[in-house]
Amino acid sequence: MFEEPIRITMSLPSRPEFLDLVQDVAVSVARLCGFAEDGQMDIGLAMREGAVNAMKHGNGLDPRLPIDVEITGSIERVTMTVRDRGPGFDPRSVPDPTLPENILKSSGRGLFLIHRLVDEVRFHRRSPGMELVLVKRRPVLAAGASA
Amino acid sequence: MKARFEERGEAGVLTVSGSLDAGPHADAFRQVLQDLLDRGHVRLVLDLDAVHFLDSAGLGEIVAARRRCRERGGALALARPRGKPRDLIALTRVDELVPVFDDLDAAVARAAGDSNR
Repeated sequence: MFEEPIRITMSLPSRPEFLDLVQDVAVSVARLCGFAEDGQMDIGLAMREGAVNAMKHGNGLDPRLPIDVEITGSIERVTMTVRDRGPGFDPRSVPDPTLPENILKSSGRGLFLIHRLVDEVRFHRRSPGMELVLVKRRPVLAAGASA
Repeated sequence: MKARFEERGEAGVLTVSGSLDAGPHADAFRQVLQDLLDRGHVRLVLDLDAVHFLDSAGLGEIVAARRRCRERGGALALARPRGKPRDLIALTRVDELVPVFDDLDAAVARAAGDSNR
C-alpha cells in the first residue's frame, strides 16, 4: 500500500475493446490504495459501467469521440471521473430496472449497479459532454487490520 | 468468454467460462445462443460455475436469452452462479425472472419441464 496519492488520466476511443483496460487500471489503483478484494471488484465494475455508459450513451460508440478518464487514489478513497462528448442527459430520467415494468428489458442496469457499488455518484454537465464522478471510500478499520 | 454445449436429455447445458460482459464477450455469447436456438435447442441451462465476472451487459444478455428461449416455447434456467456474479443477479432481481439453482441437475430438470416461467 502506498501513502502517496495516485493520479492516472486516460483518453480512450469509444470502443468497447478498451473497457477491460480502464477496469484493470481502476482495480490496480484500488489494490495499491489498500482496498480489499471485494472493494477492488466494486471499483472495477463501477469504473467499467461508467465508461461503457459514456462510450455508448454519451458518444454513441463513435470511436472518433474520446472518453476522458481520471482515477485518483489514496488510502482513504478512490475517485473515478469519466467525461464524454455527448449531449448529456437527466440522470433522474433513468428508470429503475428492478421495477416490474422494466425488469424484462435487456438494458438499463448500468447506472443502477453504479449507485450500489460506490459511495458517491455525481453528474456534472460540461461543454461539451457529461461528467460522472464516482467515489468509493475505504472502510475505516481498527489499527493493524486490512481493508 | 468460452462456451461449451452438452445435451442432457430434454434440455441442453451451455457452460460459459470467463467473463460475460460488454463488448466482444457479450457478442460471442449472443452468437452462440443464436446458433443453439437455430438448431432447436430451446430448453437451456446456463451454467455459470466458471463465470468470474458479470456486468450489466452480461445481465442483459441473460434476460434476453430467457426471452428468446420463451419465444420459441422453451425455457432458461441458471446454474451455479458464484461470488459477485451471484450477488449481481440477486441485486438486479434477475433471479425473479430466471430460476437459479446451486445444483446443475436441478436446473436441467427445471429447464426440461418448464416452458412458462
